[in-house]
Amino acid sequence: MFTLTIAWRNLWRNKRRTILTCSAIAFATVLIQLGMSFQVGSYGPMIEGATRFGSGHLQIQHQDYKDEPKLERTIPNSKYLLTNLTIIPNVTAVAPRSESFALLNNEEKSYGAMIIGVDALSEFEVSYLPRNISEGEYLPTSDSAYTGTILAKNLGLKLGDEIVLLSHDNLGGIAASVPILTGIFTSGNDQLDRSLVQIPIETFNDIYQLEDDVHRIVIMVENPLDLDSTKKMIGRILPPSTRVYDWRELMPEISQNIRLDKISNGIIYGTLTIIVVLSIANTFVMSIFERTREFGTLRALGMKNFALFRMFLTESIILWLLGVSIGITVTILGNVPLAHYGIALSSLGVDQFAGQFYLPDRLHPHIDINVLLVAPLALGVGICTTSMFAAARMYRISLTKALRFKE
Amino acid sequence: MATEILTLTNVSRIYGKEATKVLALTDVSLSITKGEFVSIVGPSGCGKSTLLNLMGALDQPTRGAVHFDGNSLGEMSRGELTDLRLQKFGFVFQAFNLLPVLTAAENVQFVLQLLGFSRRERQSKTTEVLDALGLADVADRPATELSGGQQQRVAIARALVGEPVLLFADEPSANLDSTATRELCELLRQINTDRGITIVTATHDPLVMGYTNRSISLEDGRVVEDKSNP
Amino acid sequence: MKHPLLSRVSLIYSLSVRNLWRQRRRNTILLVSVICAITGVVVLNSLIRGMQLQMVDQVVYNLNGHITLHAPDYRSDPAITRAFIEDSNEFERKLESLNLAGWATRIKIPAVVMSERETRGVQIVGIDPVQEHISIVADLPIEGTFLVDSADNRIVLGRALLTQLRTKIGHRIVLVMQDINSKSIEVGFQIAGVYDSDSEGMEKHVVFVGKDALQQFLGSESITELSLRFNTRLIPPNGLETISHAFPNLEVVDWKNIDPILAFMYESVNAMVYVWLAIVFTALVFGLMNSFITAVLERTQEIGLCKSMGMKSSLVLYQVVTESLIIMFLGLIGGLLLSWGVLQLLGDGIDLSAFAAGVEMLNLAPKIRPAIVWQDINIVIVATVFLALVASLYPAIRAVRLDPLVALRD
Ligand SMILES: Nc1ncnc2c1ncn2[C@@H]1O[C@H](COP(=O)(O)OP(=O)(O)OP(=O)(O)O)[C@@H](O)[C@H]1O
Ligand SMILES: [Mg+2]
Repeated sequence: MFTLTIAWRNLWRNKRRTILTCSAIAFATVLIQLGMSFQVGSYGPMIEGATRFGSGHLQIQHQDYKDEPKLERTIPNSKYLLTNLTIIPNVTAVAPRSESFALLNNEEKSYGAMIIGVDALSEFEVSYLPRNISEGEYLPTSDSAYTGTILAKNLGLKLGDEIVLLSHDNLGGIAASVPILTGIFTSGNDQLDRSLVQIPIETFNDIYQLEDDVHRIVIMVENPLDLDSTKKMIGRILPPSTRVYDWRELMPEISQNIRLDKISNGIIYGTLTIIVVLSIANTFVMSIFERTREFGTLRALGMKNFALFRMFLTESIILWLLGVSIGITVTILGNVPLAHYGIALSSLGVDQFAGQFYLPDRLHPHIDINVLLVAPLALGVGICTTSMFAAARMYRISLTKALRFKE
Repeated sequence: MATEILTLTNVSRIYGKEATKVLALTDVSLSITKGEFVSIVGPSGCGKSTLLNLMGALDQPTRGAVHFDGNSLGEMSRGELTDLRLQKFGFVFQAFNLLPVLTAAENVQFVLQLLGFSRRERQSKTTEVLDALGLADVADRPATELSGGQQQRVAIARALVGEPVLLFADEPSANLDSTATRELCELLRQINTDRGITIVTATHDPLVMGYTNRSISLEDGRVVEDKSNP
Repeated sequence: MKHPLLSRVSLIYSLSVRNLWRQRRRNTILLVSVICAITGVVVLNSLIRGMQLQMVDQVVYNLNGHITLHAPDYRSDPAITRAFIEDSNEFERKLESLNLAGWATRIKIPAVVMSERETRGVQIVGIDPVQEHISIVADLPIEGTFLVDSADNRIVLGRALLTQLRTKIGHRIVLVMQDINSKSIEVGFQIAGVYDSDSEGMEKHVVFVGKDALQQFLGSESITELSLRFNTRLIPPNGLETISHAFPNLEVVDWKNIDPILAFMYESVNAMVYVWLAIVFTALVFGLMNSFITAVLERTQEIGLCKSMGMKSSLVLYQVVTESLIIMFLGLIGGLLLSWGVLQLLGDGIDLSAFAAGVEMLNLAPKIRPAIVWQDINIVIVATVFLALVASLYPAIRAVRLDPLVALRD
């Protein structure tokens, strides 16, 4: 009881110092929390975008297809597998894809592109690409084709034009077809907009003589955090020589970027924490040594070491609590509007590049318990440690000296 | 019936080492008997505070032994010494040393809390002692706002409230004027006679000396005189 | 004979040093926090700068050069029809006054490569091997042989592409491209060698052939780009304008325009350096202020005494400011030395190869080598002095305004 009263009143003995120290703690807390909330807020959409435009949460392939994508490395009997996959809990959507590289010709030019056979209805559920349609319709008929804006522009194609596709089929013959451009998409990711043609999977498999085989089965799940168990379950029903991958394996650049970002920011936050903790340590040293004689008196009156120690600790914990709660309040208050409206990436001048990193137009910071606790805890550990060091130094002074201490 | 409660045998206290060595006390032997009101006198730097600190278990002698109630202080642990100070000793300092963030009453209560008294007991004991010392009016004022004499009386209240066997006061009157000093001495004598608390005080004020019933004179760290005052 | 001002300054200085020493515990911690802050800023900024310059190096080195020149409409549709005449003498004459490491002429056009069973889109780069000492080409590890000269009619491709195409050195592959009449032509090349690169994208998409040989196939004598590299790490001031003047009919593009993402990252790094400096120094200012407020408060009596005796209390205040300057100066020296040590330890860089794919996506180099930019250090120095003044002047000025009676009583 007295410990708390004494600690509290001692803090307000030097208001300006306490306010400055609290501000330092609050400053570091807010900075780290805001930084982290934007980081965390960008990872979600980045993963979402990457999985929605690229790999899906999980993907089944022939076991050698990832290293060396060859036309004949397929998943056999896909219809049966697709039906079975939908029964697995947590799986929300599945879509088959077949693909091959082909040469696109119009009268005067030719470009290389990926031709992907998709099932229009399933694709709608796993991918954002069908929704990013900017012109026309998404694969209405079996002879339709869907391409990106840049590719259409490079080839000089408009809706209704024929596209001439040329490549090798499964049996080593020439695979040719002439679908009609019925839809154009703009995803924002240049790579996709430049080099992708989708056609219905039945048509694709006809041209390439693949029958019922496909190259990939893309799977979306309800809860991405539960990916591993779903992956295991899928693994049990796979046909021989196929494998299931998660998005981290398929797009290592995304998960690596997230890790790299976490590490580099961790270093920045760490440095900041150290500087603030040192500032605070300095304050502790001042305020504790100023009171040497008071502590001497307490010891003379019969206060136990432990009780004295508790008094130091209480003071620093109050200081910490004050600073951190101001910080957390500011973070939360600041985050309410930010999380609601988000920050337009265009205002930061990065919107042109957002697509490249699968980021949406607006970034919404995200606060979770980790974001809120990491900085306060790191600061707390630092503050308690330094206050203990300062307190420990106090014990080394002999009682008689402490009692004679002049400020 | 005189019982010796505090005994010093061949006590020396040397500060520092080698070149900067100071012999603050040399071969002091004496004992304090229960119920005495003792003053330790002598010129500045003769070792009064040093002696008092050794008696009050605030410091350890370089040589020799201090016994309280037959137990050697030198054989006690730090924790035991702390307990001893808390339960058996009371201290009054020259600079009062009240906790500035607490009120007069709280300064007193604080010791009771260290002693483990319940809230109610703390309150009643504090009121009692403050009333007895005529501090009822200032009980709730912050310690820093009190006059020197008031502060010193709060310090005495703080020392008394734990009902110590021995009360040590190092130059309690040094920061007081003569009226306040006289009041203080009356108070100490009253405590000594009414409550039977043994008091040892260091002073170079003849006024204070006059109130005590035994004076030990020091010079250069040695006892040069030890006489009873009628 | 000492000048009175000088003796006054030396008096303040010696008093300050003594005061600092008296509170050495507190001031040591203060010093440590200043050293930490400065080291944090300098080391991190050197890493960021290193990253930034390496990004530039990579772009410049990667077949772009600091500056490339194209026919005006080439960039919107890269084709041999949008090319310009190679006139070595003219180039030589116009470029000789510049501090160039060298220049190279190239043909860069899209093509489709077909082996027996696979088809891939690639960029075909026609080069003159002797000119390519300015680019990555000279350093690529090669299995087999590289092109011997500009007339070499064989092809060199990346290991990843070779694997994808399932072919071998010595085998032939067919490239489909458009000739000078925009007709698709198929040209067979024998594979001379295979290169390895840090970038998988490059291995998959860039193939090299002899420039003269390519010109023959395409039926053209032109080139699509002239690429320049300076001897300096960045383009010297006015470099871009000089070249634009010399080649009024060509589009002159610097490395920033080649890759806008990179240019953006480059620019944001400039901002990042200052933001980081501001954050760290703000964090530091709290501790400094606290210390100097206390330093002033401790001397309240001193100041009050001076004032009540009608003397100038400024002496005490100069002391506090001097103390602040001394601490910051020591912190600066310590911080810079420690930074130097840390950077020395980091030595040949921080290895990011564990993040290879991510690093490639971000245009970073696989190994970050710190780079010290003197301008950044100068700013740190200026900021430190500024901070020293701010942190001590505020409490000092407050103290000057102090009422002498209040000061004495405290
Ligand atoms: N912690 C210490 N370290 C070194 N020397 C000390 C220490 N404490 C006291 N002394 C020295 O020991 C001698 C006795 O000091 P002490 O404080 O006991 O004298 P005192 O009689 O109480 O003097 P005063 O009347 O001035 O209070 C003095 O010479 C003093 O300088
Ligand atoms: Mg003394």
